[in-house]
Amino acid sequence: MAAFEVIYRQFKQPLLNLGLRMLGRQEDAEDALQVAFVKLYRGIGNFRFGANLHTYLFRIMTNVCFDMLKKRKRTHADGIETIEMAHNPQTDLRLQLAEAIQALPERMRACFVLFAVQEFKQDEIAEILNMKLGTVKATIFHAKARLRTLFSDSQNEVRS
Amino acid sequence: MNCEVYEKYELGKTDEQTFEKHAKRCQTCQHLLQQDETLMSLAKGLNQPVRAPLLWAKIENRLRSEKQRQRRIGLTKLAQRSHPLLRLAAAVILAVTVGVGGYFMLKTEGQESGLLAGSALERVEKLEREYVQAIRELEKEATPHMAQLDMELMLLYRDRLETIDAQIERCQEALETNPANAHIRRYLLTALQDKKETLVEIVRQQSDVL
Repeated sequence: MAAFEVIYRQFKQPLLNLGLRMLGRQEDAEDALQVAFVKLYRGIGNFRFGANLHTYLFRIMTNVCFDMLKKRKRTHADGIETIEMAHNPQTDLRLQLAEAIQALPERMRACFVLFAVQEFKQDEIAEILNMKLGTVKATIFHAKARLRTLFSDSQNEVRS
Repeated sequence: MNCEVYEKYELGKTDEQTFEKHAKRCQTCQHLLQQDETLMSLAKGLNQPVRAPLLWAKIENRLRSEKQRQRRIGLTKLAQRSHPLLRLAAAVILAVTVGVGGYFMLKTEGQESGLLAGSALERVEKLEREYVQAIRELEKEATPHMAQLDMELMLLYRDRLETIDAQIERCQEALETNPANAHIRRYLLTALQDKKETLVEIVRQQSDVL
């Protein structure tokens, strides 16, 4: 148990943050982290595929988040409406960005959060999400394009 | 607003040098790069600490329940597939555990004070010595296995073993001044069992690889 506590202390913040950005609510992020640790405990014997623990943990956590999102059965398919609804030049841009990230499709959201918030390299993201490197690059490109729209609209409104 | 070269660069189809040359004279790319920079810096700002003071306690509870569940399921499986040496070590340890545990139970029923008297203390100490010796042998077997594990996993196991050893040491120190205290002996037994389980896990990890 002590070893798991060491892992928890070391990775709690980035994993919780990933959960929060993926699921949008802290209670859900905490639940996800609990499930992720149980999965880590069950699968620690399989941890020897040459990847580091960091990547392995994030893979577990993203999978747990995907499972939870599936269970939630949310209806907004691409989230564009949410981006526009959340759009308000008076509010903090960072808050708007957080809401806009929530509105991205799940895989795109995971790619962007891992890349831009958690600062993973693209090849590491490919390993975590079990995707091809080219797909990761394209997904990040499209995520940035979507979020950029929100950002430029917001700036224009502030100016006007 | 978009530029084909920018898209190619983002998708890894154009190298950095070519793109930089292009970007110097392309206003669209300069604008996109600037927006990207702002977006990325805003996104980094989202990586803020999240306060969750009771979360470890919740995780620890779930891990304990999981450990108990696995122990129930795993005992029979382990017996079927483990290394013969492990089976022997496990049998010795099990016998000693049952002996010490049984003794403690009988003792607790008979003695409310939690103190061990005369011959009982001698017997407990003898069984403990045997148990410790069996664990030492298991430790000898597990040490080379541990060295072959993945670096991070090895560090995790080493950390776990160091924590358990520290607990054992604390119990043994306490028993020097209070040898008849059955409660401390029970803590010691738990720590020793924990160490045994960890060592078995290490050996199992390596034999699974092979």
